[in-house]
Amino acid sequence: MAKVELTNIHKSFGDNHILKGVDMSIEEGEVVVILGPSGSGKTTLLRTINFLDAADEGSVSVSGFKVDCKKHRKSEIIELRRKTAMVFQNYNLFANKTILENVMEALVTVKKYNKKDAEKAAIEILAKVGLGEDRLHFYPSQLSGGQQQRAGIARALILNPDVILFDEPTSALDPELVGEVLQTIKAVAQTGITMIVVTHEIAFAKEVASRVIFMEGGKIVEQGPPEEILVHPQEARTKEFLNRIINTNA
Amino acid sequence: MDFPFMLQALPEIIKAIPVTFFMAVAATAVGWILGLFIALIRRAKTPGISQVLAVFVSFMRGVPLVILLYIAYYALPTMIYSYGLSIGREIDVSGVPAILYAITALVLDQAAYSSEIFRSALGSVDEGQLEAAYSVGMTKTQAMIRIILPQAFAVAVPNLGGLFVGLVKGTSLAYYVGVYEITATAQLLALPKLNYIEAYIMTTVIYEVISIIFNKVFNVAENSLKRFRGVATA
Ligand SMILES: Nc1ncnc2c1ncn2[C@@H]1O[C@H](COP(=O)(O)OP(=O)(O)OP(=O)(O)O)[C@@H](O)[C@H]1O
Ligand SMILES: [Mg+2]
Repeated sequence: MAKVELTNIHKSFGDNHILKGVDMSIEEGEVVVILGPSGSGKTTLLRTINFLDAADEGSVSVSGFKVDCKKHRKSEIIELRRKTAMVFQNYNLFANKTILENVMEALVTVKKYNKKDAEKAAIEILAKVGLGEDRLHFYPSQLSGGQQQRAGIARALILNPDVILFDEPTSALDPELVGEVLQTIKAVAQTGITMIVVTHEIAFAKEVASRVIFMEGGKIVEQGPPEEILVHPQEARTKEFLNRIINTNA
Repeated sequence: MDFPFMLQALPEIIKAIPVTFFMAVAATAVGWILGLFIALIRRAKTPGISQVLAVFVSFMRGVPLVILLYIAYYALPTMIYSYGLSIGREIDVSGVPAILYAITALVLDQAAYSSEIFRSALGSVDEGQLEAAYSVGMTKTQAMIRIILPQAFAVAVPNLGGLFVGLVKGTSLAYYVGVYEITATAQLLALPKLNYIEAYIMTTVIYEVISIIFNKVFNVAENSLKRFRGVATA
């Protein structure tokens, strides 16, 4: 059974038809990288998976729990969100909470852990993303972007989600901090957790992805293993897009 | 200066301070909660009710507090009385103490003004944090209580402090509807020998002292909340 299954996802904002029937089936442990030009609907697609934006049509299923986008109940959305986690471009850490509290928060409020256990689990996860004891009681505003994003990853990991959604996790970072965050994401990928990553980091995609999806105009244009899509793309639009980012990255 | 008068009157005026505080605290407690809900409803843009609330707030901001007090004092009892008749009951409105009408007027005033403060404070908290809270499975209520409201309060505190001190001074208008708070008491004591200058000096000093104390209290609150405000207001 697929870990994540999207069928015929359509989404419009007003008259703007953004997603035009996206189907996607992701197996357990896959690391799927989504590429595509700006405005192609990558962020919107990720947000329809956890219903931050509800799609107008289609269905979303995570670990066999299926929600119809047209008629969904609040309780279903909460349930779906408890199976997924998201890492945001701008980190979106809770500014009124320390790094430790940020990571503990969902365990305490959502999973009803007692504080002691939640704290222990959070400290462990934070150590895994390279945030040691000396940073635990800092507020997000007191940390570098790279540290904030690693805390964001810890916050996502602690719920032991079935899938983690990453939306351009490194694009708000100073160039010298990108490496440490990509390294962290790579380590997470190696634990076997299912991930969907929107990114423009081609080298990362080559190394870590099990599948690359190229999107344009709200549709999937082409998909396959990274060596196929990134090295020998079949579609002209994919080639053109790759040439463009490789040139700007160089 | 009639110093003997002042010495004699001061304890009497000080005895009226609780009346002033009672009005201020009651109006704040009820008014600010209403204000918070008005802000939340208006931000949610619930159709119909948010327009009604927008009109209410804009009306309240336009009407002088004295007029509001008069409306509460003179119009409210008549309205309640005739409402009573319409449901076939004769309600005795003469037994209701004047201070209740004054507090009603102050509550409405505070609800309107505090709602504007809460609205802009809520708007200053980045939407992304709400989405992050949803993404980890929190309900809207959990996200509001644990993430958004604490930050909005931190932003609102300085303005709420100003609003509260303004309210303490505003309670002096309750004198017009016969509530014996600080100003009315001083006025009454001054009457026999026309010691108005002395009475006004004493009331001014008392209001100043109250202002200074509360400004201090709100400053301390503001500073203790500052540790994360840098981001919340960015
Ligand atoms: N809340 C919204 N309201 C209206 N339009 C929106 C909204 N969110 C996204 N859009 C529009 O949907 C289109 C797709 O946006 P989306 O953010 O999904 O693109 P993207 O592929 O993630 O682009 P980028 O690479 O720039 O992040 C854009 O044209 C955008 O303006
Ligand atoms: Mg995007």
